Amino acid sequence: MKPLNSLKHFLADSTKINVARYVISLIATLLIGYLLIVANNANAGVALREMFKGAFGSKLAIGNTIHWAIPCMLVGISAAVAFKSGVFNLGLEGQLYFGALTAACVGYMIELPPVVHQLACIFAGGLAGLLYALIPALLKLYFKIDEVITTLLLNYVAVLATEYITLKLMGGNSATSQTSIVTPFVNKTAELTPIIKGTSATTGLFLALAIILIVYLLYKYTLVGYEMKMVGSNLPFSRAGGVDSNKMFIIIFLVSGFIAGICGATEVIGVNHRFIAQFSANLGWDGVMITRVAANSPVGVLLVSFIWAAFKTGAMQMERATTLNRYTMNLLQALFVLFISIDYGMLYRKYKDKKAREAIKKEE
Amino acid sequence: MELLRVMFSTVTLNATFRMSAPLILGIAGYCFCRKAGIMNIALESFMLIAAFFALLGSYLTKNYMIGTLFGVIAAVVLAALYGLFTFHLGANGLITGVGFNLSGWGLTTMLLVMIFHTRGATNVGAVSYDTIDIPVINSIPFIKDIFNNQTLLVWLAPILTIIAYIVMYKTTFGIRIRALGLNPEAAETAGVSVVKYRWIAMLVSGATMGLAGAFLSLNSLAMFTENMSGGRGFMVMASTMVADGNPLKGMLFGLIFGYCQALALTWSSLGVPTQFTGMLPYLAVVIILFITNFKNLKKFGKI
Repeated sequence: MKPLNSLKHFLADSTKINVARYVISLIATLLIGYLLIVANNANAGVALREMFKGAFGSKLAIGNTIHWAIPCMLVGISAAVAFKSGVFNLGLEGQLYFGALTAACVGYMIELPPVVHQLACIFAGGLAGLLYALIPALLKLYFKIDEVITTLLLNYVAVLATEYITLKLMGGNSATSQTSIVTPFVNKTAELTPIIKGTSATTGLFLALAIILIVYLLYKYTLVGYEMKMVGSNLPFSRAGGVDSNKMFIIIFLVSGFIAGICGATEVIGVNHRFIAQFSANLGWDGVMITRVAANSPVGVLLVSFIWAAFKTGAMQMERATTLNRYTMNLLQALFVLFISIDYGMLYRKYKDKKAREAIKKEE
Repeated sequence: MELLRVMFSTVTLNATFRMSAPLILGIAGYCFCRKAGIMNIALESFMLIAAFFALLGSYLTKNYMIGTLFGVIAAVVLAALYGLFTFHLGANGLITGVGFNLSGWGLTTMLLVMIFHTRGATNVGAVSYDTIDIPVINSIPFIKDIFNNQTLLVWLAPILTIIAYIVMYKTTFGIRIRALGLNPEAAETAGVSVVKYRWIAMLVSGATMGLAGAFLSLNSLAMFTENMSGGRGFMVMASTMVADGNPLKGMLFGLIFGYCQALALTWSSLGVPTQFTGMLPYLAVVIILFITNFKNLKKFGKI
């Protein structure tokens, strides 16, 4: 009976700590946010109201929120797949760029019937992301080069390389200004259909939902998913159990890159309808933050993506209506992630140990 | 042909000396972290925030020395925060690093818009470093073009590297740092406080990254643009990794990457698209990582 009781205790404690983690982080972030608002001579109530209005206030606002939720979900689940298994793919941004450029090229160069064309763009984008993820994966596997450093640097390469390729495609030269480096528009057949008129909330939403569902089912019901989880939570154990960790590593890295590529593709065929140089404002990094806040769970990614998207659209409205600029929101989001990543469980145990020791001292 | 010719021109070599300075400054401090077994991707944010505060300090006081001090203090404070998160609050180093980098980007852009009302502040009235004129080498034709009229921090970089080398290999402090990186438990048993030495390494790397950041914004033009560190923090990390924490070797790699940046500058002035030349330094890092780790191919197996 005793072990069962202690297990119960443990479970209760860890849930409490998890709730505490989010509550403490939220309070800390709100406090800093409040200070920032005051420092900007703005009214906190007005800022919050404008943010809410910007994210959910009208049909258009909701559409905009959904529009941002799509890439957030995709890049978030892409990061979740990698991070859950302890693969630190920080190259989402780069993979996303190559996915976007490839999708744009397939979109404007090839003639295909409507739905097939969309799928072709998405698949091509995913494939490009996958191939770009293959570089750091192979470097790690064969040469033991830390994937963290290679993915970080390859991000910069990808942003510039896609820009350069676009420049060559459109026949520009070194005098072409950066803002005008774009591919031609994709064909109408390749564009995703909006589900809310006048916004970029497209059928990409269903694609993102489907991918999250697939990942969820993969983890829950399949052997591969179980192995992927085990590699992340206990590598020696999974090796002893006969998991080929090299194969797993490659699979995870490529799947993550594939989804990141798809994210880039949906941005192109759903929102901009063409590839724009340096279009992604740190979207890849949003994925890393989202999966951290969601504790690497697919359902969590779904929820957090909508919150993230609401922040993005809300921040725009807040910028228009108050003296605050939208970078305030970026800062607060990153700070929230920092507070979340504190190991509250460890701190709590330390605190309890200290108390127990003091109690013993008193008895003596 | 013109492109090949400028590869060894004094303009490129002069720029190499200049462009590698922030890298070398950063490497000199980060070597201690590397030896103490700390991996820190937040270096990028240290540099970015230091660059911003150095500009702000110089703008407010019209004195580049105080500006530099602002930058160094900002970076040291950040390093202390990073140390607090990873050493004492049990946060994962990588996630904390990503959080720091994104916060750094958010904070600097936010402050940039708040204070200077622009996303790229140039000519705001901040004072940049004076160039140092050395009369002795003025008469030597080739050398004069490369080494004269550089700023103070350019000269400080190799000096700091040599100091770092001496501290690392000739003092008790250095021996302890290296020992605890190799085997923290053994060092702890021998009476070396692992946490204390990691803290010192962390703060030292913060200070030198602060200098590197100040160099970015206050050298030649006093300016700050959004995300201006542009991966230099990661280059510092990579150089130190390849050099395995040896400051002198680190300086060598810093010079190589600085050379690539300098070449990118001169080539783009000859009409090569900046998108292409901009890739060179990053590709150089990946290639050097590849070359230096090629020997690992034999050990293929466990990750």
